[in-house]
Amino acid sequence: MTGETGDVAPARVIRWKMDFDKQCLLGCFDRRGWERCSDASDQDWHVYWANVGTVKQLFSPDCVYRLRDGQLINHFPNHYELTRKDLLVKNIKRYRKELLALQQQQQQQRPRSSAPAGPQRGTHWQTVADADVNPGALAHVPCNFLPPTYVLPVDYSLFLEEFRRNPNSVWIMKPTSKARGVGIFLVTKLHQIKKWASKGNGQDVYVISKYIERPLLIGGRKFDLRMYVLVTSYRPLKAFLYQDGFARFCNEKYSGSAADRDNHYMHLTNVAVQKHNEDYNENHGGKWSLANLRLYLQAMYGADATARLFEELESVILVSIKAVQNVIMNERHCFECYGYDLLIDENLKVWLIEVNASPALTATTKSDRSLKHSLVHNIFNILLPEDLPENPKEREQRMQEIIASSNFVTLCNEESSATASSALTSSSSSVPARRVTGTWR
Amino acid sequence: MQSLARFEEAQQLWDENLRQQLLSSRGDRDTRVLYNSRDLLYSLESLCKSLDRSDSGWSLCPMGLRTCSVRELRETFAELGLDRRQIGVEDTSDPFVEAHTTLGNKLMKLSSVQLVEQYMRQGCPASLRPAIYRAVLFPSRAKASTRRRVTRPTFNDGSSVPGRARERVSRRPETTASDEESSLDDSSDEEETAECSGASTRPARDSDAAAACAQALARLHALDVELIRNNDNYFVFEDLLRDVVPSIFREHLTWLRAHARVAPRDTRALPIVPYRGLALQAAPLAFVYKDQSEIVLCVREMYARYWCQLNTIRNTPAGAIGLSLLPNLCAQFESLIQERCSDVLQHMLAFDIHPLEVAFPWLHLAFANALPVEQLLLLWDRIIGFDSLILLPVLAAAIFDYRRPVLLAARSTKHVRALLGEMANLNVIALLQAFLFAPT
Repeated sequence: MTGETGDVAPARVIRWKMDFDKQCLLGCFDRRGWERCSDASDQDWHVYWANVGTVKQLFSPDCVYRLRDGQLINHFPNHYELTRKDLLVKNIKRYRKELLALQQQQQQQRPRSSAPAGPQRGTHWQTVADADVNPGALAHVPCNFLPPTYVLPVDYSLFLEEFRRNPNSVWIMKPTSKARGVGIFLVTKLHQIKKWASKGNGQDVYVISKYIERPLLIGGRKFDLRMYVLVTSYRPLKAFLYQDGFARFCNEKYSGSAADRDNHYMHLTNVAVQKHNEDYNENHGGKWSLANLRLYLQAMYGADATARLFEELESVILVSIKAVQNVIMNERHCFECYGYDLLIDENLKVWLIEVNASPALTATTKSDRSLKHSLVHNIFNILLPEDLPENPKEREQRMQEIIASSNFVTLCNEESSATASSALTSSSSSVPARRVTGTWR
Repeated sequence: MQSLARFEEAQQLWDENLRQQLLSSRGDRDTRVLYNSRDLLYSLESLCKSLDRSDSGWSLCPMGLRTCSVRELRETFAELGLDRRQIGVEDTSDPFVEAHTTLGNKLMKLSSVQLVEQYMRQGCPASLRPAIYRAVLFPSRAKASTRRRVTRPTFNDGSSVPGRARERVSRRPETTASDEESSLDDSSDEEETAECSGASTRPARDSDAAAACAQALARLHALDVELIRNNDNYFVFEDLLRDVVPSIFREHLTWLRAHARVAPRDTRALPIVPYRGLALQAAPLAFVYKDQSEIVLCVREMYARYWCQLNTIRNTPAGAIGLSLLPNLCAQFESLIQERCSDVLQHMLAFDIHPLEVAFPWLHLAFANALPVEQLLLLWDRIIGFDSLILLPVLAAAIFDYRRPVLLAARSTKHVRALLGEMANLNVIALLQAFLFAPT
C-alpha cells in the first residue's frame, strides 16, 4: 500500500476480513503476513472475503458505510445477473439478440465479398479475441451453449410449447437460489411439474432446462467441468481463466433409461451429492485433473478436436461474461472468482450449466487442496501485487508479467487493448482517472 | 571363472526359488502370497549378502556389474540431446510439435518399425500414441506369431543379449504369406489355464504351485481393484481395467512363454508371477486405448519386452553392456549417484539412508507408481523408442540431483521418500536432458 490516500490505516500490513473461515484463504493470508480483522465491526480492512448476504447489505441503499479506496471485496453488488440461473438465461438471450442485430447491421454496411461466411474452423478463438476491438465479431459465436431454459412459473406457457414439440425429451428442474444439487429433479411428464406446483413450491422460482441426455462419457460415467474465472473489472472488462480446473465424475455408470432418472448419483455431478454415495471415494473425490482429461481426449478424439473443445470452453465463458458486462454494477472495489460448471456432450459440444458466485473453496482431497491453495495464491498475486512501479506504462508491463507468470490466462483485457491502440498517454480519456492506491484494478 | 559360474548358478537357482517361495502359501508366513517392490529388493539384497564381497562399500547390491558413465550414456541416448526438440518439453504451440505430428502421420503409412522407434525417441504426441504404439508393439500379428523360441534370447548360455531395436529386427525371421497364423494364443493355453486353476494331473509339487498361484491371483485381483478405485488418475477406468491383469494370467501365458525376453529355464514354471504393481503398469494404457482387448495386448507386449526384465534378480555377465535387467539397473543407479551426486550420497549415508531403497520401487515398476500419467507415457515413449530400460536409473538419479538442496537437509529414509515422492510437477524429459547433457 502506498499510503498516499490516507483513507486506510497507514500500517503497511494488509488487513483482511472473512465471514466464513476457509482454510485455503487463511493459509494464503498467513503466508503473506497479512493481519486479520477479527471484530465484526472493524471496517479497517483492505480485503474482505464476504458472503453474498454481507455484500448485498453493504451495497444496499440504506447502508451507511461506504467502501474506501484500497478496499477490495469479493463480490459485485448484482453478481446474480450472472449467477442466478433465471437471470443468466435472460441475459444470454438478450445479449444474443444484441449480437445478431449488430451482425445484421455490419453485414448491411460491409460489401458482401469481405464478410466471412460464418463461424470458421480454427479461428473460433481468434474471433472471440477480436471482440475486444470489434464487438460484432462475437456474433459468429452462436451463443447456443445454454440448453433451452424457461423460468417457472412465469414462462410456463412457453415451456409447454417447447415440451409438446418434443414429447419424449427429458427436462431438469432446478431451484434458482439453491446450490449443491439441492431440490433438483428430472421431469418427463407434465404431471410431474403439476405435482411440484401443487406442493406449494410455486413460490420458489425454478428453471426448467432441456436435459442433456447424451453427455460425453468416460469410463461409462458422466462428468462435468469446474473452471475458475477471476473478474477484476467489468468496464473495462478484465477477466482471467484459471488453467487448472477439474472434472467431477459420478460414482455410478450412466444410463439414459427411465428407471434410473431418480438416481442422483448417476446424473448429478455435484460433490455434495456424490459424497453420500457409499462408493464415494475420499482419496480422489471423483475428481480428475484437466490435464488427464486433455490427455485422454487427445488420444481418443485427436489433437484438433481437443484443441477446439478447449477453445470453446474459453469462448463460452467469455461470452457469458460479456453478456452481463453492461448490466453488472462495476463497483471499483469489487472482484469476483466465479465457479463455472460446464458439461461436454457426446458430440464434444460445450454447454454452460451454471455460474457460481461463491465456489466452495473447501478441499476434499490432497490434490484438491493444492489446487485451491494455488488458486487463491494466484488471485491475490494479481489483485494485490507488490512493488508496482509508479509509471502507468511500466505498471501495465509489470502486470502483464505477473499475469503471464501466473496460472491464469487472460480471457479479456479491454484496458490493455485500449492502451495499446491509443496514444499511450497517462491520462487516456477512455480510462477514468484513478488514484494510485497500490492496487491494480 | 569357476566362482563366476557358481555365482550365476546360484542366481539361477535363487530366481527359481524366489518364484516358488513367493507362490507358496505355507504356514508361518503371513497371508501375502505375491510380492511387492520391497520383497524383491530384499531378495536382491540377500543374494548380494550371500556373495560376501569385501569390496561392496556402500552399495546395496554389489555384484561387480559393469555400468555406463554419463559420457557413454550421452552417446546411447543422443536423441535426448539439448539440441533436439522433444515432445514433453516444447510448448504445444511450438512449431516442432506440429511438424513432429505431421511426421508421425507420415510414418504410420510406411511400415518400418525401426523408423517409428526412432521417432519415438523424441516422444509421441498424445493424439498419435494409439497408432504409434500399435505400429511398434504389434506391427503385424502374422509376423509376430513367428517370433518363437529361436529368437528368444537366453542369458546364461552366452548367446547375444537384447540390445537396440535394430538388433531385434534383424533377428526376426522373414515371413511369407503362408506363415500366417492369425491366432496369437496357442491351443496349449488350455493346458496353461488348467495348470493355473490347479486342475491338473501333474506331480504334487507342480499342482501345489498351481493352486497357490490361483490363490495369489485372487488376492492380487482384490488388491488391484482397490488400488485402481483409489487412484486419482485411474478410478474412472475401474470397469475397463478390472479384467486386464486376470486376463493376462488366464489367456496369455503361452504367448508370454514364447515371447518374454526373460523366462525361467524350467519350462513348467510360470513366465509371469503375480506381483503388486502390474495393475499400475497396465492402467496408463487406458489413456491410450478404449478397447480392453487392445489394452491387454499392449500390456502383455510391454511385459514381454520390458517388465519381465524388472522382475528378475538375474543379471547379465560382467562383460556385457547396455542391459536392462533389474540388478544391472540398480548398479547403474548407484553408479550415477556416485558420479554425480556424491555430496548428497555422503550426506544420506551418514544418516543411514540408502538411495537405492528409495529409488527401487521406481525402477521395479518403471515409475508407474510415481509419475502423473502424461509424464509416465512420455517416459515410456522413450523406453520403447530406445528399447532400453536404462533411462529408469538415469531418471531416478536425475531426480536426486534435481532435489539436491532439500535432500541435503533430510535425515531419514522416510523423509527422503516424502520429499522425492512429490512428482506432480516434474518435467521428466527436461530432467533427463539436463542430467545427461547440461554442462555441470
